[in-house]
Amino acid sequence: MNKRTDLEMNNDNELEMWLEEFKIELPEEGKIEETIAMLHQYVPEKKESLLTHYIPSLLKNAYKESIKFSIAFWISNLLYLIVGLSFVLVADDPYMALFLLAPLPVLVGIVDIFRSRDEGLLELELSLKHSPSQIILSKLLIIGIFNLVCNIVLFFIIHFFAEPVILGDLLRYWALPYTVTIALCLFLSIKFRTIFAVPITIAVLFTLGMSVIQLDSLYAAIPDLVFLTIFAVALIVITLEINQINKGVYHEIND
Amino acid sequence: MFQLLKFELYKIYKQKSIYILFILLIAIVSSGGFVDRQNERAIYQDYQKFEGKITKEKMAELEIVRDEVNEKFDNGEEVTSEEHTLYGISELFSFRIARMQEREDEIAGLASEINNATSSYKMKKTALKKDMLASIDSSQLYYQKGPAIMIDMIYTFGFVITAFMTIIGIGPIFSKEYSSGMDQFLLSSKFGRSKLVTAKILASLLFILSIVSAWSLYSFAKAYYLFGMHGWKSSLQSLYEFIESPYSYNLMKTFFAMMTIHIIAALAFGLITVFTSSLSKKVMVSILASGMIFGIPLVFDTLLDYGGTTKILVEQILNLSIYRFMKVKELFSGFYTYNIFGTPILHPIVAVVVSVGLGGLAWYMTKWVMKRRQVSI
Amino acid sequence: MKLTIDHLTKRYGKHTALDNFTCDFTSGVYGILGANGSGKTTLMRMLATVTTPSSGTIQYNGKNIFELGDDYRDVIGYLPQHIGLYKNFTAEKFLYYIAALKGLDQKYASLKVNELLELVNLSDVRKKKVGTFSGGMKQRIGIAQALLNDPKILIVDEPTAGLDPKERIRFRNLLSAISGDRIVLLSTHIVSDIEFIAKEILILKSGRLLHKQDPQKLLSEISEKVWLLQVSEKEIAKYQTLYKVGNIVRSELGAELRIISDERPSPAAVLAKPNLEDLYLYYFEEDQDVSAAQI
Repeated sequence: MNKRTDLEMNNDNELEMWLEEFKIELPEEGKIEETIAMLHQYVPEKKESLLTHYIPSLLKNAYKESIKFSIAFWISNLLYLIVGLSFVLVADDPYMALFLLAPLPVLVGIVDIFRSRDEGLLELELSLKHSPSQIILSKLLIIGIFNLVCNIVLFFIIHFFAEPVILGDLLRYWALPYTVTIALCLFLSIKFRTIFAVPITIAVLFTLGMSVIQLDSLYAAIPDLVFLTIFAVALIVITLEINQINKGVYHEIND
Repeated sequence: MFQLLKFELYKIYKQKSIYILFILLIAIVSSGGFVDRQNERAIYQDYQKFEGKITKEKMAELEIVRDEVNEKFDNGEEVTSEEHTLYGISELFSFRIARMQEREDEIAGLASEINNATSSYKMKKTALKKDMLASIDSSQLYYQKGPAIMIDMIYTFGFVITAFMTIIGIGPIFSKEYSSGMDQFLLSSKFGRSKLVTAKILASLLFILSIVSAWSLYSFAKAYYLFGMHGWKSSLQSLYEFIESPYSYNLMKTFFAMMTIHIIAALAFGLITVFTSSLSKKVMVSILASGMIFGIPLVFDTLLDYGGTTKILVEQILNLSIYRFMKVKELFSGFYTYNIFGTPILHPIVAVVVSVGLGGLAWYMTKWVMKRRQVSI
Repeated sequence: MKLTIDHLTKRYGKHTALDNFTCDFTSGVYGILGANGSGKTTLMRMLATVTTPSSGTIQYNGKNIFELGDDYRDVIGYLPQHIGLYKNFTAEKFLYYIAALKGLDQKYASLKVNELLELVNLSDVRKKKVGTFSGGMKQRIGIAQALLNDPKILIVDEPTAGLDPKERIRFRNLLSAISGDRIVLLSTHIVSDIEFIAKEILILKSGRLLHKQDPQKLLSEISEKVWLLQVSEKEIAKYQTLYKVGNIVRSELGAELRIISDERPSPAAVLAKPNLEDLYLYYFEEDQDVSAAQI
């Protein structure tokens, strides 16, 4: 059984040599890489729908974040719409109502935005994929847009059911307090804890409102240009603050 | 106890938030119209000749000035500032006299109402009003811009500053202990459920007093600097918002009465804030709660005009809110009484009683809550 | 001086945190051993009057502690598991504050604060804000505040979790030094804390008291249940699924497993002298984190 005839061994060798011809060597690593590189250019690209191409990652992130908002935020916004609406329709002066009530949901939202920082999740979040500043900014974006939409709805209702909306008045009684309070609130939130930033801002807003009511004629007399300037400054401040958040300079927590 | 009180005061004043808020609020309050001191001094000089009782001689003198000024108007000539002031004074005189006459008429009307009164309460109420109106002496004129500003401050910004500072400064008083975990030490210590609670309450009250003092001082300084401290003898009715007021106070008495009521109401509000704090595990909730107790009436008051029936209901509720009590103005601007066992009790008195009652209740409830407080998972 | 607990129960909704706990304490150190969620903290909290029981009583020298109220709290010192402090207070100020809360007069407080800062080795940082303290330092300040009123009953809840070995030893020594004429109740899941200093050990499991005994007696009960077995690397997993395995000492030969089991796990296994760690493992399920019981 073990002994093989010379003839059989010869046949084996022949077979082996013959089969050698058909042997396919594993190519070198380098060659494989080259081939892949060459072929890569022919790989068809995944077609991005035109829309998603233009939406920056921030917004996409924002969409994801919107799901995480506390129910309190959505309810307060809804409440604001309803309450704000009734006040605006019933109030002596719908503009004053806007003045006092318009920024409130955003301020409440700011509590939500900085929640992770305040509740000590910061360290954890810093090590996750999306940086906290991204998260904060996306949340800010959502709140801003949503609230803006609510406000615009309110304007239309005022315009058609109460008095026609005058741009100048809009500037004084809505745009200005809105941007100034948000600028202030963000500033305080960045430097201090939101727990106090928001109530302080609301207190300032209401006091400002009452001051405006007191000095109504004076307030109305101030030229539009002054308001535009303050409005612009407030916007710039907000932009700077957003920049700061982006850089991650918001964990200066002083207690 | 004194030690504990010291510590609690330290904890309240150590909060940065109260300083930021106070500065911001005072900044807003300060941004008013610009006042020309020189001009005001000159106006005061002009007033001095005519201060005191309105007499026929003074009226005659002013008539002459009036005619001169009218002539100048017709000729398109410039009027001197002295003439301007005197013209104003003469207008005030006429207005006062007209008003005094109106009051006399009203008193007469009330007298006949008493006879036709349908219930004993209505009779008493009308009689009270009549007596109050009869004792008013608004026949004297003074330059009273200084006192006017100080009184005005109470119900325009003062009470708002007191309220907001209380909400921010005292809102966290118990909630902070819960959220920081210190409550475990407090609740297991000898005085944690008894003397400590009293210390916190006393510290809050002292804090409120300091806030009221602070803005009063500010308003005093501002008034003194801009207008001087003249005219305290002037009647309450000389202030525009209190023309209809039935209270025969002079400005000095008014100021003290209003401040006293404001302080009592503020202390009551403080006690309520302490109570809500003892219930809230989170600082934000505590601030929100006390914020709404003050803020909701504020929003209603600021934004609504009172005309229809439903709004009268709102007004009635507002009249018994701590917000109104702290604001004080509406307590004195008109004649309003409550029917307590058939006797008409004036609004300010009711305000004080209700404030003290609410405050006392809040104090008691806070102690009750803390006696039973548990730390749960 | 006696603390008597009778059928103490605490329920949170449907969950029973402590179930019919009954026992007596006199002066000495008692170790309360149990896994997380076994009811240790709930018991400590009730003893500190920070939580009230659903049913049952706790009596100090015959009087209900909740009725005694402030008088009872006057004689206790409590160190909770999670320490929250005022970040802006200095160590010194913090102790003075607690002293005021405990009703100590100024002079006495001064004396005690200095003495205790020395004792816990925080004298050189007395002017530093406690917000800047490390975990170990916070624990030490915690112990200092608990001792301010020279309490007759010292309640200490998991004091050494989060401390490094050196600090744990220091803490143990500290406890020994102060255990004098007091009732000291120490809860932990770190066995070495109480190994040598406890008069009696209580074993708590799922809210119930399983045992209350002097440590030696408890150990003697498992004297024939601890085995040492030499295995190969590949066999470790097998033994872990079949038995409770404590310490695993690895070497070039494979691994030496310390197995806690009623019967001999393998013919090659030899009996070992049990320690408290084994005791802990014996009473608690396999799915408890083994490393938690180790030093």
